[in-house]
Amino acid sequence: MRVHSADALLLEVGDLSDGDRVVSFLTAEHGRRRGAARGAKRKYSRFSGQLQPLATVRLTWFEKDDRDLVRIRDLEVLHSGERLRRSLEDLLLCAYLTEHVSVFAQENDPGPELFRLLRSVVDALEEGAAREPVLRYFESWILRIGGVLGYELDCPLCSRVLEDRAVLPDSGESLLCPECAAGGGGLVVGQGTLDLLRRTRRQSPSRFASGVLAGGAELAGATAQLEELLLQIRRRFLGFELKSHGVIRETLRRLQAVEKGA
Amino acid sequence: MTTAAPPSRREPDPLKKLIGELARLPGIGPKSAARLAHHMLRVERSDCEALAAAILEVKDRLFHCSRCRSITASDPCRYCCDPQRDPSRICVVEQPFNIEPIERTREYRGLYHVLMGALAPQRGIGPDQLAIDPLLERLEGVEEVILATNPNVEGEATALYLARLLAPRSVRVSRLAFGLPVGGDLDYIDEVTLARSLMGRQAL
Ligand SMILES: [Zn+2]
Ligand SMILES: [Zn+2]
Repeated sequence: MRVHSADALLLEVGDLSDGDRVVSFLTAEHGRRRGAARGAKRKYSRFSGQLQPLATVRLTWFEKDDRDLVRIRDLEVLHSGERLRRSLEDLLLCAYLTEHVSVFAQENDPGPELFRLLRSVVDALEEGAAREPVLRYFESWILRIGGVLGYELDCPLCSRVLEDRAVLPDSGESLLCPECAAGGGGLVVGQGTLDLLRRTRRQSPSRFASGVLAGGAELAGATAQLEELLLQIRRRFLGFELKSHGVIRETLRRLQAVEKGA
Repeated sequence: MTTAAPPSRREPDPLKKLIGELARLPGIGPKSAARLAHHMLRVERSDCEALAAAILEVKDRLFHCSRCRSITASDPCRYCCDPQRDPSRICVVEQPFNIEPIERTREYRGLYHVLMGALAPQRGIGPDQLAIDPLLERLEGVEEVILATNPNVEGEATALYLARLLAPRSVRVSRLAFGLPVGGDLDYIDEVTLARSLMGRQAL
């Protein structure tokens, strides 16, 4: 049995058995792991009130070679992330972020970039950055880290830099230049969208979000197209859609219908 | 305490089958499943028959109340039929087993509504998977809806969602005042704390 200690972002918290919880967490050094928090449901548990999605904690856990599930020994909350759980929209967003990480991060595979990404996005949201642009930032980076989206925006077939227009063909996960994509169908994205995608690469999430907000109506088309582009790339890469995606859309759509009618 | 071996290929087939079935139960891992299965091998046949009969009886005789979805042997259930209860209040819980602890507090005499879960987007559980529409259809004559979903992110999201859905209706919406630990579970909250949180419920 070995003991490990690391800073971690908590992801999903679930039921394990009587009184116990299972919590998945992301660390830079050990990637994503799942740990048992014994007695966590009980009122006077030392874990009581501490197992919250997207909280940053200092964790100590025991690990046995033959087990996937580690045992959490100690947990100290460094940053509660409480502001991310105040409204329904916040809570839905938490679910979306954590499902992304659960799907993209391999268990036990070190992931310092992913850890840094999630940390920076959580920080930006806590500082009040606008949700939607921060999500685009997150989605683009998780695809980069996953090796799906290139760091440089150039055509993988002819190496030309993608400037005013690019095409995501009906099949495939890569953006091509219009010449290489000629003859086939696909999602055509314009300069504004490519420009936003470049900005996600260079800027911090907060800076990106405030830039999008400042762009106002002028950037609305490009932002919507960026959302569609990232969604399609992710869907093709994974071969399925994230469960939270449909549920969140449906939940907000129903609310909008009620709140508009009111 | 006797320790049972984890299931292996060496176990005879019927035993393997039983261990497999038990391991599918919530909260039962392969080790506990093996321990339970070996226990059943040791006890009298009559004990096993009683257990099997009890399981089947639950399946054959009990179902969800058509109004509130609590577990019942007759429809509507005893809560929905009880003329002593206050029909102007509905307490919304996630699961049928969340009702009993609230009953034990003796602080609540209204009706119930079981959602059959909570919003959990990452597990694909949205409004369509929960008994939310049936709740909206029960609001006639109701003055207060008390949201007693669990004090964790899923229960909280469900409560916030319902509060907004109910806002245009002419009902008061309140939430249990959890001096309760966030991340807790209604099942593990003592009666005194639960009673206090019911009395101190807050308007949403
Ligand atoms: Zn090209
Ligand atoms: Zn009933």
